Amino acid sequence: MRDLQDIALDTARSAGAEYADIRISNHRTQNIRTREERVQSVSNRESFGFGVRVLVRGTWGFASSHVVDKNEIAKVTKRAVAIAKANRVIQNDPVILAPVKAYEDTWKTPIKKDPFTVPLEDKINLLLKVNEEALKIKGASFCNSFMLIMNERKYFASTEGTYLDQDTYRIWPQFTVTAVDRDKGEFETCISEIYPMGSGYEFVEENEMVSLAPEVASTAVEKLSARSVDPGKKDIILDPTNLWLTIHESIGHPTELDRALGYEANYAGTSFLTVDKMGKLKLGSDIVNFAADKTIEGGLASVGYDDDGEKTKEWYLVKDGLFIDYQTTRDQVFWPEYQNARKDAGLPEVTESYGTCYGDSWSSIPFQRMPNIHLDPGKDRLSLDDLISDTKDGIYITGRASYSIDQQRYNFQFSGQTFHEVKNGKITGMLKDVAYQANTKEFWNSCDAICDERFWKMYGSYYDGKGQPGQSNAVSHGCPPARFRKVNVINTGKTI
Amino acid sequence: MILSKSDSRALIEKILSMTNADEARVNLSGGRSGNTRFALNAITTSGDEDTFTITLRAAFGSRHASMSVNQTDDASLESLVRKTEEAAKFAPEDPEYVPELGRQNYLSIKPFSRSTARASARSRVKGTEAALRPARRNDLVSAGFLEHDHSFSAVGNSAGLFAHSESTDASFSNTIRTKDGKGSGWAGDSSRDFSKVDCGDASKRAIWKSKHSADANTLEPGIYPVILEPQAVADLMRFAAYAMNARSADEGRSFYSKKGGGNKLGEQVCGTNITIRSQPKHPEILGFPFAGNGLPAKEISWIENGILKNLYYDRYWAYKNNVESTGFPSNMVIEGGTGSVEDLIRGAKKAVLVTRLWYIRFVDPQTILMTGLTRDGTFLVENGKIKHAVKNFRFNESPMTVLNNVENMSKSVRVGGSLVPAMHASQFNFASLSDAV
Repeated sequence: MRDLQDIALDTARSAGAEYADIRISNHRTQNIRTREERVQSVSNRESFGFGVRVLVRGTWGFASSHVVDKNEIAKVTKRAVAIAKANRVIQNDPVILAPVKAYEDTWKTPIKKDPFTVPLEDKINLLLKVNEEALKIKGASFCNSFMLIMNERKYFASTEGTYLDQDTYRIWPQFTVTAVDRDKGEFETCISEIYPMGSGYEFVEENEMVSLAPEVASTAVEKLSARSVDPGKKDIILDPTNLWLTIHESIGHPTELDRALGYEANYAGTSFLTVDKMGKLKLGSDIVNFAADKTIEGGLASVGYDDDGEKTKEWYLVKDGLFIDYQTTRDQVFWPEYQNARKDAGLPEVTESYGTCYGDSWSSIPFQRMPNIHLDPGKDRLSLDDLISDTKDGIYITGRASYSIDQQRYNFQFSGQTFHEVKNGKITGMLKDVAYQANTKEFWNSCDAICDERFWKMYGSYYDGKGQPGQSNAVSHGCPPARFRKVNVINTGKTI
Repeated sequence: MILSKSDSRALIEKILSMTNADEARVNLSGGRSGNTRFALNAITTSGDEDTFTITLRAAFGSRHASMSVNQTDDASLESLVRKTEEAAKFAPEDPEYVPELGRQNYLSIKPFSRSTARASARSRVKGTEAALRPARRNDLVSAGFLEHDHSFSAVGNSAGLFAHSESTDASFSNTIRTKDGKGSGWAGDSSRDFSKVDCGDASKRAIWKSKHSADANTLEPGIYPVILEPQAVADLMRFAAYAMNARSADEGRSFYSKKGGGNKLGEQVCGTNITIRSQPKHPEILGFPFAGNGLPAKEISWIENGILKNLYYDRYWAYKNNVESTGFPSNMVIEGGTGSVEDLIRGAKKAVLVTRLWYIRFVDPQTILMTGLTRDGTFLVENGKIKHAVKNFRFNESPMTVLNNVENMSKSVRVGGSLVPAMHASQFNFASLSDAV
């Protein structure tokens, strides 16, 4: 492998590149989909190839190919250099890379059971059994289930002297039950609260989907007769199964440095967290702390090294409610706007990347992608029951459903899988047609209670989109249940 | 990698000859694309991608599975065949298995342009310059994307079906912002033909919107008449199209389901001025001649004068209901009027003009209620003129409500793979304000 990688690095140097890296990677996926008693599809996919990234007099160039041999690597590297040279004509400021150490290392997702070696029959039987158990519940009309498995074996080398071999696994089993009332012409769905994880097949076994199925099915049926919510300002208690996505959208994306400076303006958008707010903006209440990492066990974004060859690490984005930092890559660290804003705010100097560079395939150009981002647990002992007991007029919301946020991450609207009314400290019944709408800063400043570490749980997204052409990133977010005061709750019921 | 028709046929036949499956299908796809991203008035990334995929679907009786690889050496092909066969044998019998299609006749469509196939990093620099120069000249900040793609697709199966086609696509989009971040305008252009993508004209439109959207006034949220520009119409209406799955409708879990059972075929589902079709041979949005399973693309009326004429049927659901399979819509053509967006503005007493929509998600699939936001140029129109920019809104609205309240439409224009008009509708629910620019 090193022989092939060195061809790219040497060819790039000879052609005038001051920096080059090559990723040779093999991507394997397995996707099993079922509904009711039937397997809809079993599909396996393998994709092998390489991508070469070069920096020529401060301008990036990239090219890739699925043919992995010496001649092709040399040819494609020359093409990447030619692209950089063509673009240099209309460039302004040269790209500057933050320093990085040279590493020779291997890393592997800590898995106990390789999901690709588990017999296909076992996986199929599990999903069909889930469907069967769900459909035993009276009123449950349909059950769809799936299992996604991913492995990415990546060999990275750069002209900094780094050679890395990383082996990443992710897995996601899930099912959805639909209850249909044909007489009324209505239907409701409920999705199991199982989210993807950087794990082996042991994650599937731990989740006991079969025993979960009747409960999810019963919830779908119950939703049909739930009371439509009365809109208004209410206290909302968000379960980790719901709050992780709110963190992802309202904290994760606006703290991407490329967005904040305008690099994603044409697609994903910019950020209300402009650099002048770093070290100055009270983004949340005093109890709100957000830490970022690419190191946590089970995290979907966890790896040993990023696609810049930087060792992954942990750092804070928000401390005691104060917004203090961004997510960065090597080519972002020395952006003057970032450095000047840190200096102006009296924040410590940053001279290394946080290691958040990622390309979702050998054919994709790596760029800044979200690490795992978590809400710290509350420092005081507080359970979910305590939170509910302490709430007079509120709604307890679980699960991921409709979610939408504007291109600068101010205004968001989220829904959920289940909504339970809380009156005078007690859950009084199920509601439907609920969504909460808020402004990010007001929302996090209205957070007045966060449960302690016993209730901290991590969920995540398998597909987080960004960039043009679009790339997908997997990322985890951990949090405990938390309460937010006087949030705008709307009724989403409608007739046409 | 692009494979010619003869090379595709040879590779497909080779793979089919290696399998012992009762039935098999091979799909080949690949291509070469190039893209350039720019932001802050400079190129940020630029690259070429070369891709290739072989997918084998094998069936023993009604047990089936599929696998994809991207290597063509004999060992990789042998592994593809054996692994696919093994997975298929483990799969349970599929009560909905439909045998492979035999030979088909396809529409003569060539969605291919030589200029796109020949495009390079240098040609992208020219297009990018057309975006960056006027932005710099106007002291504005440009961020955008220019890409071209030349690809091929081929399908062949053990029942004798074979199809091959090459296609090209090119697109450009540009978001121009004022330096103080108070104004933002977007415009784009796309074509099968790279030489017809007008980066300069799109950038000019984006600049106008950026300048005129600065210092937007606040218009209180509420239900207002709306003029959705073609991009906003395409953004929203695709959800009405996605929902037209016959099986979901028959199963009672769709807007197109009928109370008491069945679906709404033959019923008035929107205004009598609405007609939506798939027209793969339409010269402005040439579709692809066949789907992945080899089913030919065909002209289909989905909604005619507001009446639901067709839902899309996959091969199994079509067989079960004894109707012809439509396949997934090959493209979307909404029949428009004759004028321009400017004509709609001139004809409006009061309306909110929307450039494009963002982060659209289902809120309630039963009513196709969607939420999302306006973006990059939202204006108040009064007495036939754009009066001033307004702050962006979050909306909670169904495309079906819009289609039931369309008062006027412009001529339809190409937006990606669709041909859609701008629409002037009498009501649209702008639910809350967004501070985003």
